[in-house]
Amino acid sequence: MKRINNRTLNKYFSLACVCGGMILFSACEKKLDYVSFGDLNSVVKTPEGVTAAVNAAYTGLAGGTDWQGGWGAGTYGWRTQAMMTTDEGVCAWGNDWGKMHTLNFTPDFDWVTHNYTRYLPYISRITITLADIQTIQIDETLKKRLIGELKALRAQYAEQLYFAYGPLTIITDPKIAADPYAAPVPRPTAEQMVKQIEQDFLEAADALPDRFTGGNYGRFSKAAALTGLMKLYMHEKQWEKAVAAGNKIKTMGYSLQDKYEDLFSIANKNGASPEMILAVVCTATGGDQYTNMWLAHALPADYKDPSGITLTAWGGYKMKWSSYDKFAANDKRLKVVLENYPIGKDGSGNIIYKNARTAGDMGAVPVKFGPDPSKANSQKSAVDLPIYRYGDVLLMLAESINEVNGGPNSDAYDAINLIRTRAGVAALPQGLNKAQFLAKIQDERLFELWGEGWRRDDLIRWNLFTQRAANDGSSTAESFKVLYPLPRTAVTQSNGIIKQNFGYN
Amino acid sequence: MPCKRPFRKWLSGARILLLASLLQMNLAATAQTITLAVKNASFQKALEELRSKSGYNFFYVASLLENTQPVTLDLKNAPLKEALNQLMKNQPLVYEIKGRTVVLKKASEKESAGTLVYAERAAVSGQIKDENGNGIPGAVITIKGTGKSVQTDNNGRFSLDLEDGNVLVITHVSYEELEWIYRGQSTIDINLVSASKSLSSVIVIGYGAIKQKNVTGAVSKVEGKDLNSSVASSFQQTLQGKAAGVQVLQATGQPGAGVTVQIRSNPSFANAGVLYVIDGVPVNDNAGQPEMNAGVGSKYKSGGVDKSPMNFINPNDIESIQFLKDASAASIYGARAGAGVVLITTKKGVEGKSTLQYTGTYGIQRVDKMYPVYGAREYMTERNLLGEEKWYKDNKIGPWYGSVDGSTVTPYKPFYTQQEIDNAPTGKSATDAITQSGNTQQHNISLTGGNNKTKFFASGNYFDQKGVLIGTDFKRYNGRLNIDHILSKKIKIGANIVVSNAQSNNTITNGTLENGGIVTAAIYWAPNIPLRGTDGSYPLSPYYPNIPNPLSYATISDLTKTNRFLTSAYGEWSIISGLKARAGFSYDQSASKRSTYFPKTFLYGTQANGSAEIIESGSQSKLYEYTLSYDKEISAKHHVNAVAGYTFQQTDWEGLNAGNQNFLSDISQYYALQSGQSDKPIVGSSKSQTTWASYFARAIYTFNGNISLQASVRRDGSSIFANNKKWGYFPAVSAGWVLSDESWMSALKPVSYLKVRVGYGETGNSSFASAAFAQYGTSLNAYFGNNSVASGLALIRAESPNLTWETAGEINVGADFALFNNRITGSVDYFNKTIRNLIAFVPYPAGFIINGVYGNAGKTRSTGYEVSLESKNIRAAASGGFSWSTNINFSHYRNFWVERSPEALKVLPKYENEKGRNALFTPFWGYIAEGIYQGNAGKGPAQMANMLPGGVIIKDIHGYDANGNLTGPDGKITDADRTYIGNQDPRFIFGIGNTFKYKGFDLNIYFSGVKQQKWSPVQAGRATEKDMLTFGFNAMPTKDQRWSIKNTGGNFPTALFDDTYGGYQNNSTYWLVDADFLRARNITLGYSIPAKLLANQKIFSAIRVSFDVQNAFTITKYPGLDPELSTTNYYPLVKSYVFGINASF
Repeated sequence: MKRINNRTLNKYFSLACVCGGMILFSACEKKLDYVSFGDLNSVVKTPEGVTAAVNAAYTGLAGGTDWQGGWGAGTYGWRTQAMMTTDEGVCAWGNDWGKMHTLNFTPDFDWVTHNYTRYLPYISRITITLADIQTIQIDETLKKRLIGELKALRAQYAEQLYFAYGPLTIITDPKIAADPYAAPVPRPTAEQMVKQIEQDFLEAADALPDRFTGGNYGRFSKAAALTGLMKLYMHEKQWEKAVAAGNKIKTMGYSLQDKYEDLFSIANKNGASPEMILAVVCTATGGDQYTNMWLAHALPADYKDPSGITLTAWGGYKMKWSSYDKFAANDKRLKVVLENYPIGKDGSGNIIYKNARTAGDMGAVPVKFGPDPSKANSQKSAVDLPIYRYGDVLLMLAESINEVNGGPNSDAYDAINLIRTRAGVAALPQGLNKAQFLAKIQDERLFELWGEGWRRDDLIRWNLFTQRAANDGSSTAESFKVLYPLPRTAVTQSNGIIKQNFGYN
Repeated sequence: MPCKRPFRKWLSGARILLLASLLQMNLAATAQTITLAVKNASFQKALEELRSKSGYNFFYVASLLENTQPVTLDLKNAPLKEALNQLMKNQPLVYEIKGRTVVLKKASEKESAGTLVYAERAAVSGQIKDENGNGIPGAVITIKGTGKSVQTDNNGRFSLDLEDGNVLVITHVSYEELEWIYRGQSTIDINLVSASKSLSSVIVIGYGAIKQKNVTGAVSKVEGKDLNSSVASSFQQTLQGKAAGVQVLQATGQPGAGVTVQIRSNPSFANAGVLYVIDGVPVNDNAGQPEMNAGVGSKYKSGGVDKSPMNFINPNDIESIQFLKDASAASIYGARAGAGVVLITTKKGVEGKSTLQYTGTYGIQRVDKMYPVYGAREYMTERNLLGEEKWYKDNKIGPWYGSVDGSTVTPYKPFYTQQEIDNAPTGKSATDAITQSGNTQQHNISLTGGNNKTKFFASGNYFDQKGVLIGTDFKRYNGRLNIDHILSKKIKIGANIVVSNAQSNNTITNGTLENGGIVTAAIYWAPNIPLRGTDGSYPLSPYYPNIPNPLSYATISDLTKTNRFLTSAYGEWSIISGLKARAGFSYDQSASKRSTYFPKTFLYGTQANGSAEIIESGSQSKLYEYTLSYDKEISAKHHVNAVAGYTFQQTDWEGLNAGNQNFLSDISQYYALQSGQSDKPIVGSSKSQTTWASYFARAIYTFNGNISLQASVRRDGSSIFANNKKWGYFPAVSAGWVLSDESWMSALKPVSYLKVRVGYGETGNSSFASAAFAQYGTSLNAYFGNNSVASGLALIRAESPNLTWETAGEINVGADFALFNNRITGSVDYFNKTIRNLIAFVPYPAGFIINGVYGNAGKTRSTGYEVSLESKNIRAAASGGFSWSTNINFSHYRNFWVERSPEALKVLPKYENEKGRNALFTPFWGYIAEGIYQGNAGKGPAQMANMLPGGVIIKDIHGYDANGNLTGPDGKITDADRTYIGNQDPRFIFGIGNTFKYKGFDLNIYFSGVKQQKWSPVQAGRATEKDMLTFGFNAMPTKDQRWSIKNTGGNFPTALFDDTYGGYQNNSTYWLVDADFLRARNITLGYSIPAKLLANQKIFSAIRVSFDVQNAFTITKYPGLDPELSTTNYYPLVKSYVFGINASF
């Protein structure tokens, strides 16, 4: 009897041990906490965090995570889109590039809808950072500057979106900006959006130094903010305000660089150019964003640079012959847009040229940029990508004055002739009327600024945008194509509160 | 005892026939038939002859022969029975065969002579053999009721003290259990029937094992010996078609590459793939193949280079594989079992004489099917024609492209003159030039043994493969040691160590244009250009010099080294009868290192002046596991098996990479990264951790041996989920009923076995490579000044405070059966699996600061069925006779949406089905083709009036109204005309195996096949204006005649690109084709050298040689490529011819 009891006891004791053990192990549940190594959440609201958030806000100028977006050379790049949808250029790769040139846009065509979803987030993030920065103890001068930079960037992104898509809501409330479930609001009027952009640029201009040099080159300066503002005024045909902004920039010490081709060369690194107002600083050894891949897109496959520098050449972008043929034969700017391009050297070292026109190419070679002599990478170049430059400002000023005055005055002539002189072409004849002068400006902007991202806005301002496509035989160049469509999801996600641009369904 | 007297007489008398000697018996035992000729011989002499020829013993009392007649026999290859019948004809005797003894009796004597046999206990030796007469090692022979047992040695032999009437129970995991009554023979020969579906075989079900008969879920078992691992670096590659519902997808033939094993299907975005559990240790957490991530390498990332994480397991070490297919079976693994579980049981030591076994294979390999391209002359002719066609189009020449008269424009000038074409080289194509003849060899040694205290199994493996593309190979070294030790009556301990090292030279294969690898570059290569310069250089195509020379890929260094070290140990305590506590621990460490160098001989190396990167990834996983199990026969009719436990697993992940560019010389490769002169060398690292904790319990109750009820529950916790959402419960219930054991079923004679099963279970899924917590990152950096980087900070992941488990609930109904005396066995299963709380990326409104978060939203379903059959078409009439058996498995599933989240609905294109059986989870999208337009310019169908002649006509089915809703046909081709055009999932998957055996030979022919649709590789691979004409790329010849101005009746689309409709046409049903295939996966002929030939030497105890052809041929209508291979230019699959030897010592 006793023996049995012992056995039973043993049995229960063993069971208890095991069960007890199991309960002990449950202490491990505490270890289920998520461990994020290198968690930066705590850094956000520190001086370092806010400064870094301002840096992140700049990345939209280089397209953010897009491949060569922003002011880069890829499909989503502003300069590419402005070239391919206008008389500036065509692309030899066919496929969807054809849709760009014929303005065959739909809300399902990602190439034209993509930038909507790329830059609205930049605007909201800037709004959040503007609120965060108020909570931080840092040097007041620096704080003021950072706020100015953020506002200028917000205005710049909003302006590009406005030019592309028409009026969109700029979220200025950081709470709404951070809330994915915030109720959708109808699109604002153009006036409301323009007012917000203008206010941001003006406040930025007040807070920012005239220009940045050295280590801060590439940041938004007062001159850059005013250039952006001037473009807004011109888009809105507020010519007087545009003239005022242009005249202010004239006082800030910028001048034309001696040689046109040097503007797009390695010589301009570190802000060496007297003309460049805002540029994307590029590197040949970083990722695919802060680098210049224009040449890879633009050079024909058999192009051989006379310098001996190996360059990647995909043979895509071309300047249309009809536009190329508008250049005067002695225009020095033809140094960077070629009918005859080098394809190597003969035995005695003479460069062999190939004629692109007789070879059947769709257009001239839009070289634009000089090669990167570092040879660090044949595809990626460290030559900076220009955004705003004084040459552009001069032409904008000439145009605005012409509009304000109902014809050119001497300031307008001076502005455009500075550009023409550098290009080695004769000054404009005196006595042009408003329309004649405008026509000259229209061509001059093509010669001077092609491939820099402005042709689409220019043609729209002159009411020539859809006309150009129609003249080229497009059957899809309806007048509403001056605006890109919004992505279809932007409309459906808002239950139709956000309306699609007119004409698209 | 009336027989005692004659028995004594027999013993004392000299006239009796003595039993044959042991040796004679064994040699004769294999004799099948008898050839014997005697004329007028005495019955006794004839009997003697027959005894010596047959090897059978004859047992009789001498006096019986007194009245026998003289005999005349003329037998040729007659079976024993016939021989006996003839012998006994007209004799006053009858006979009875008992085992290996023929007992002679008086014709009148009713009583069996059985009582004549020995009464004493005697040492008896014997052999257990398979159907081919080969000894079965490791079979256990138990004397029923005594608990006494022995195990057979390596030749299947044993010896045992037996008494007459003892019942022997012979068991072996791979054979049908057999009960056999001992009747006094001095030696015993017993044949077992192999049992891949054996009902008594033990099935591992996770945290335990039960008899197949009591299994209630959908569990398939594959024996290790049925896996053909002769050229497989991982066991996964051998599973193709081996079990119903198990699909093996091989996207690439890169040596050592992984394959995706899919159990049924799992319509989930958080698809971790199946959970692999090796001897109880989940091994999914591992270092993985590192991707190139910066510098030149970022162009390629993985570059189609893949290494199976399962390469660390030596396939030869696998005893068996169990697939837990339905949720009622898999749910014991809870949250990680959503895609099914693969349980791998490795070989363990067995008690008895130590055995050394060697397996070696050597095989030669060829590319099974290389990418077809035009030869130089065809290429040049084709390119000329394309240029001419484009000239017609560009000049709008009538009547096809406009109304211009061709003679009024500048005439077309061909690219190549006829003379150039005639003088073009006719060498081998670039796609052939990148191939080489490959080979594999494998050497495997295992040593196993043990005594009643300690058992061990040790093995070593060397696997070496030279790839069929230049510059590729794979080498693996693997060692394993397993020890089990009985410490005391109650305590058992054991340990397992696996060490593995693999090294592989890879080649980048897939991708398009500039981002393509060696295969892509070879396809594009213009065949009229020499591949090598006379100076040994690697020229580029003059037409598009942005793509590296295909042969130059072989000058890249791309070495992957993988190490894995898996240790585990356990202790088991038998507390009381039936109750066991077990504690297990495992430590699993893996490291993978990829060293790359792009030299100056390679285009991208030239561009960066040499580019090197080393990328490392590593993981360390710790697992603790405690279980308490109870297994008890409560009474004759009630049996209970229960287990409860706790496990905890924590894995740490680390990554490190460094790279540099601009090297003085290619000589330094990746050996001296610091010698590169890039202004910004690459460095990177990462670290993360995942933690799991789980409780589980399961009970199985069996009534009367034939009704089983099973219930289990698992509670899983994971660190990645939101704080109050970490835990999930995963229950399961199932039942099985062996109907054929019921008396009322016995009338149904043809059905020898029938079991019905039904089960419901829930499993989870949590693998979505993210977490529920907000994260800020520094991926957005800006550059200022003179290229100085300024760190950026931005939110890259938002918090998802309610994120929790995805749960799959699955109903499974199945039946197992055996018909016609086990001639046909098989099982059928139907399943219906619904995944709720789908872990999906929930998009935020367009324009929000981040794109969206992972959340639980939506519901998907997968339904399907599986059938597997095994038919013994011809059974061996006698040991070593001819036999033929066939295995067939067949499965089908369909995945579709049951519910979508409101967020998903908002971004769902209108042309997509919201839910229901037609809202496929992975559909093919596209436009409906309505033939080729053979008319002229401007006269196309209404919706495509301006289409190019020779283009695919697209059907106008929808338009959009002003609100973005679908309307009827709108007379235009737009995105609204997009629709479902097919299912990316295969319709049927099947495998057919046939095994023939005769004497020592065995022939196995194994086919597997899929019924499916795929995009035709011809769409992208054919000669087109954009590729061949513009860039000078080579292309894939097509059988069909393409439409051109020279062939206006052509039934294949024009090569010219239609700017307006090209995008639609290239995504139309025209290019969605049948990709059904039937592949002869392996044909294996084996021969086991007969034991008697080996008897005279002492080195080998068994030898088997084999010859094997893998991927012998494929029957398919799929054009151009291998229908199994991914269409994006991956490493081709291989055909292998393999010689193998297996020797036991």
